[in-house]
Amino acid sequence: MSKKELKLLHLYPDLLNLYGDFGNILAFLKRGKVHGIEISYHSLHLGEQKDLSSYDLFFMGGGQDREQEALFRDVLSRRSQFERLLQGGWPFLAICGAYQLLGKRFITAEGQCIEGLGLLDVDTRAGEKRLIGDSLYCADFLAERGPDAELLYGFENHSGRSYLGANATALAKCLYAYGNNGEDDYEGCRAGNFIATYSHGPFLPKNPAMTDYLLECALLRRYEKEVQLPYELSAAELAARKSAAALIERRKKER
Amino acid sequence: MSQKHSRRGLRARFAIAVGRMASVLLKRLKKQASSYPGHLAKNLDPEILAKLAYGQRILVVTGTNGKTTTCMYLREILHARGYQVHSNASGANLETGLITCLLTKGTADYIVLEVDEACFARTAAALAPAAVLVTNLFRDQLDRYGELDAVYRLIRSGLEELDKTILLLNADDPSVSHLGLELVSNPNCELRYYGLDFKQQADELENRDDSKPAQAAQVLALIDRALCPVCSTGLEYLAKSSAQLGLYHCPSCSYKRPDPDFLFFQSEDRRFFMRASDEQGGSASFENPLAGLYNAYNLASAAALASLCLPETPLSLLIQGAKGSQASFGRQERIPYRDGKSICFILVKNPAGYAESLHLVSKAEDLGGLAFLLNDNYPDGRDVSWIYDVPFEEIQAIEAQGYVISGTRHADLALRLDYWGLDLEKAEICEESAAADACLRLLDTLPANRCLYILPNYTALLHLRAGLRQRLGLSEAWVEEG
Repeated sequence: MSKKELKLLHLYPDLLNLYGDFGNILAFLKRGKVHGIEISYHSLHLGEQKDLSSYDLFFMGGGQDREQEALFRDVLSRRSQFERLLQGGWPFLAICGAYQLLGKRFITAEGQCIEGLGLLDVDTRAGEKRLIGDSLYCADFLAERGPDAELLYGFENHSGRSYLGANATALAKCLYAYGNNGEDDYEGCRAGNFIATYSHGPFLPKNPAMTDYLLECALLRRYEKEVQLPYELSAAELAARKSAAALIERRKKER
Repeated sequence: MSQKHSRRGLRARFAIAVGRMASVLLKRLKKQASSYPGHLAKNLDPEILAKLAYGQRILVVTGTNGKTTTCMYLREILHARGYQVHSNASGANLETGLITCLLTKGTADYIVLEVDEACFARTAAALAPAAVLVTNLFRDQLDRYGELDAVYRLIRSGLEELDKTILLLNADDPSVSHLGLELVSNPNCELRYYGLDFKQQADELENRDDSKPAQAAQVLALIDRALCPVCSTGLEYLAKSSAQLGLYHCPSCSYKRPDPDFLFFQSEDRRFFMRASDEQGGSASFENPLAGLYNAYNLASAAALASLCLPETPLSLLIQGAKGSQASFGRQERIPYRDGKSICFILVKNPAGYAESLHLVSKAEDLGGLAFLLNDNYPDGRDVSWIYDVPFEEIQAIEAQGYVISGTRHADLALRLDYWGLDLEKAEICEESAAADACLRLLDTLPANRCLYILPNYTALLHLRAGLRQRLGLSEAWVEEG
């Protein structure tokens, strides 16, 4: 197999960079290396003109309120480009604030309605109590990649409550988590190859199956050939997942 | 301060008596007594803090990093000038800790208090400090405080409560100096800035990145880009000292680093220089007992604050007072071992502090072993995602003979360090309960005169320090005060 290359675009890295988002970038670079894929890193900044479709893989994180307001208009001005990415099968990982932006609308605590990109059939409402904690979800579409690959470990920290509409598919079921809203036991949203989740920070490092899935989507779209990346975990990855499982058991007892 | 606090009523006197009694009892039982007495007193009289603070000359140090060490310097400096100084030296910096300090230690010429940045808003009015120093604002334990902006607003609202005070700010931190911009119209506030003399410091800062940064480091630099607090444009820097600290200006609005009233720099060999911009305060040259640029910031801010309190005393004389300064609990605290070997604890609680500590360790000539410990107990913060915000990638390589990776979240930390490129083959990865023994084993394999550097977060430090103390049979003098 000839050397594969992928171009990773990080959206607004200096505005959306809360809670260890860098870990997800590192995970792409690291898993890419393991699979012999050359990943080049690129970034998109406020007001910068770029043809998004010339990249293969996208990442967008969460930010502080002030910073999210600053980029709101910029994101909306690129709506048609984002829509093309979704329709064309580009893989896109959106976390927390970015997840909310991809949805239809956000209703603030004061009842004000802010329109989102509307790419995901999701409404988000401001909540009072922050939903914070270690979490465990089950994403069935990852199950065939390897033993326990469907188990996603994360950490949630959000006050927004998201509700999936009739046309939306959840990313995962909550096994031990607040998930989208703390009520319906669904977490995140999945549309095409867009993956949206509230699990921030080192989401990908602890869930290599998710990383591999996104890389495969990117390879398939770019090289138009089905690829199966082997689900082989490093000792450190294995240990981190094992300890994440133990941590959830501990948290269950504490509750 | 309002009149009602000038005299202590029956209620306050009762609360103080109970608090003091609790303190004596707890100390006799050898229990921690740095917060509980204050908790009791506050329950008996909710306004006890204001009543205790009334009439005292209080100096407050707040901000993310450097509070404890800065207070230590400040205590030393004022003490050397013959003043009696009380302080919450044990680091109990929440409201109950402040009350405990005031009620157990009584009156003094100066009360130096480190105050938790989130707690500052609630306590500022009651303390009515003569001066407030804000060191820096970094990301820290986000699951407790929410976001950095929220911490900024808390400090600002605390400052707005103040009647007449000196406000000393770190000019090099764009969010701290923004406090000055927002408070400049407050006529009751005397604003002063301290900052690094970047022209003089240039040589050492250049030595920091000797080669082209790796891809990951470039990404990191981008993510860490500081934004203008006024208009959210990416700030531009003529020079940087650490994290977002530097000589910045905004390319789109007029926001820029204010001119410091006190300038300082420090050479590799801990030679510290400082001068007041008005020339009246004079200048000083001094050997800083503690290494690292962050300790130069700490010393400079303490000396500047002392100089503002004692404007008649030359800066050089003030600085001399800091010569007996010793590392505070877990901050570059050294413990001798046999064959000239030693252990050095450096508490790491957030990405900015971690980065500074890594720079320090990577340059240490006696580096032998390195231990990383990460706990997720409540005081540490339950969320450990921040280890991915630590710019390990800025540092090309640390060459230690062996490593220990431990703490309740050792597996998460090991994965982070694996991503960085640390050779896990040379690491002992273990549960927290096995950390002390693992450290001693590593120490025994080191050649003479080498040091085992230990980078733990808060409860990991407490536990490991106690474990090592027990195994090495060290005396109680080594126990934290308070």
